[in-house]
Amino acid sequence: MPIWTNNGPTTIYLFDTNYQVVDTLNFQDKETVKTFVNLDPRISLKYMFDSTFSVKLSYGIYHQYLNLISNSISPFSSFEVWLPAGTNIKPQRSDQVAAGFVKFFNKANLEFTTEAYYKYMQNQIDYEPHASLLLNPLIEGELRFGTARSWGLEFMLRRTQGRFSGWISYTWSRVLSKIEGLNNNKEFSPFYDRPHDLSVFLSYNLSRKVNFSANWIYYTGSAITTPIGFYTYNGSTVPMYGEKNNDRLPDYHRLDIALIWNLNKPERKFQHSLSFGIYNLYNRHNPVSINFNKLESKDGKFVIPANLYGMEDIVTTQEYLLGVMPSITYKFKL
Amino acid sequence: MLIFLFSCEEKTDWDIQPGNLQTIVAEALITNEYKQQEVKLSKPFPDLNGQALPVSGAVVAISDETQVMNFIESAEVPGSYFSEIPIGASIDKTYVLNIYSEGETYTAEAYMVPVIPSWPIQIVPAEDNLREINWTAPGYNPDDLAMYEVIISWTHLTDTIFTDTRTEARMLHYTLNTIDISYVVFPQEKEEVLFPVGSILIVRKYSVTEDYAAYLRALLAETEWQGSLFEDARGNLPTNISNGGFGYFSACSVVADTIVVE
Repeated sequence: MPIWTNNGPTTIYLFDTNYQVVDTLNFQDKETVKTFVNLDPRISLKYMFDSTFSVKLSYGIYHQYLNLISNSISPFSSFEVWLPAGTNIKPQRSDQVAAGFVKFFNKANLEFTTEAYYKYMQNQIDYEPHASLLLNPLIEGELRFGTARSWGLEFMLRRTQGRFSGWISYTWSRVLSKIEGLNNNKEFSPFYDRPHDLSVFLSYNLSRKVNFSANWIYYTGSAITTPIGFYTYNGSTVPMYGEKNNDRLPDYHRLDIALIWNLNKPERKFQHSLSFGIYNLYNRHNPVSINFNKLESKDGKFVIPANLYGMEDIVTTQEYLLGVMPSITYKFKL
Repeated sequence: MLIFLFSCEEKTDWDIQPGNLQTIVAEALITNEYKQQEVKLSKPFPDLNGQALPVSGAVVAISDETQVMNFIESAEVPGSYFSEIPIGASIDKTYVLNIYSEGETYTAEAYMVPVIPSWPIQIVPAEDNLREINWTAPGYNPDDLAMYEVIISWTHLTDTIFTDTRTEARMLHYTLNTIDISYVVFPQEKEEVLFPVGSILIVRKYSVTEDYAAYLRALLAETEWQGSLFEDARGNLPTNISNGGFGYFSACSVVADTIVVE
């Protein structure tokens, strides 16, 4: 039963239904601002039919009192703000139930696990469009709250011993959020809703000293908001949007391989190895954003239009991170 | 952060999801300059480089506490509505825009605050004996919200070595009351605008209310900052146009200056 208390000194702003400040409360040092007492009951049951087959079932309620606030859709979000639960922010709550089983196949040295889950989440946090989060004393007025539900099925087949090892895992899942004041109060897929997630990791010991491994991952592209049209305002081409996260980035996938050469015998105390790897072997361009706001300059660069009298066409661009990238790593362990 | 340095941008094809574009876009900015004020009405368009179709035949008027100013559509530029007579808006007044078009009524209110005179630019040498603008107005100053406009013309220069076919440019810059990472850290590269010695610059500074600043900030988020390192989730711009209209109605006091580039 966690107990969460906020103490002063602090200033709390209270907002009306239009997110305008209606009151300002000042709290002195060590003065209690808000206290939450919640029950977090959890139960987990496991039944083993025999040494190779077991079934498990779990249920739990979880609360989260610290919230990472970031409206960024970029993968580089180092300017987030942490906000505690308090007068304007209720603790996030998740009710989750899961059931699954584990089966060992002794002869093949394989383990198969599967699990189904359902979560219902309350007091979820989202943001007013174009929320101003940095150095904003009224940041809590930029937040929007609602619920989310997620469900899924996870499968994993794993071999941990032997010359040839690895795993295959697949998850089918969905997440839907419903936030008051966003998307006309209709459910939408948040950025992290990726229905299909598949990964394959294979490892093969070519000799006592040399290991080769390959890792392929694939998942559905994240949900993003793309324009349904455009309009002009004061010389700029402005995107017009329909439903929130109406579209998806292209599916993400890449293959990484590595060759590890252990430079001494495994029984030695001092261990060192050299590994050669190739990240994103087939140079997949996995986009992290799709943009509708650039010109292509004469030297082939993509730039933001500055001359609003310009007649050049705007082009659609995608940004992606690392393409194919080789690496060499030397490791030692004393 | 290092990973970002290895990020690349390339052209792509993207199918725009179709949606309901049945609304109007109002670009209505009245100023304290004594002139025929203008309201532009247009339709959204489905393609990125599409043409905004004008909204013709609308009834447009702007009123204050004492009078109503009717706007008449230009015969030469459909969709552009000009006040019947030259007028100048006044500071500390609220103006109401009324648009009646295709059976729908759209309204908006704007309040004019005074402008603080200051000049936002330096003109600095660039390649090939040309010049470019270095904006000196800060991006953040909560005590002096402003929109700066520079119109540059070198159409009168026939003997210039300048080979660009463009002979005019219009650039905007904003001072707002928010600090945005996309503006401060790794801002995206902008198009280079160069002009020859002898060009004529008209520099205007517009006053901006807090509400209009919020609109302009969202406009930057959806245009200049889209695709930047710390980009926000995307969404429609806020608007003060009622009934599902897009665009914005603002009332700005203006100071202006003309410079000949040396």
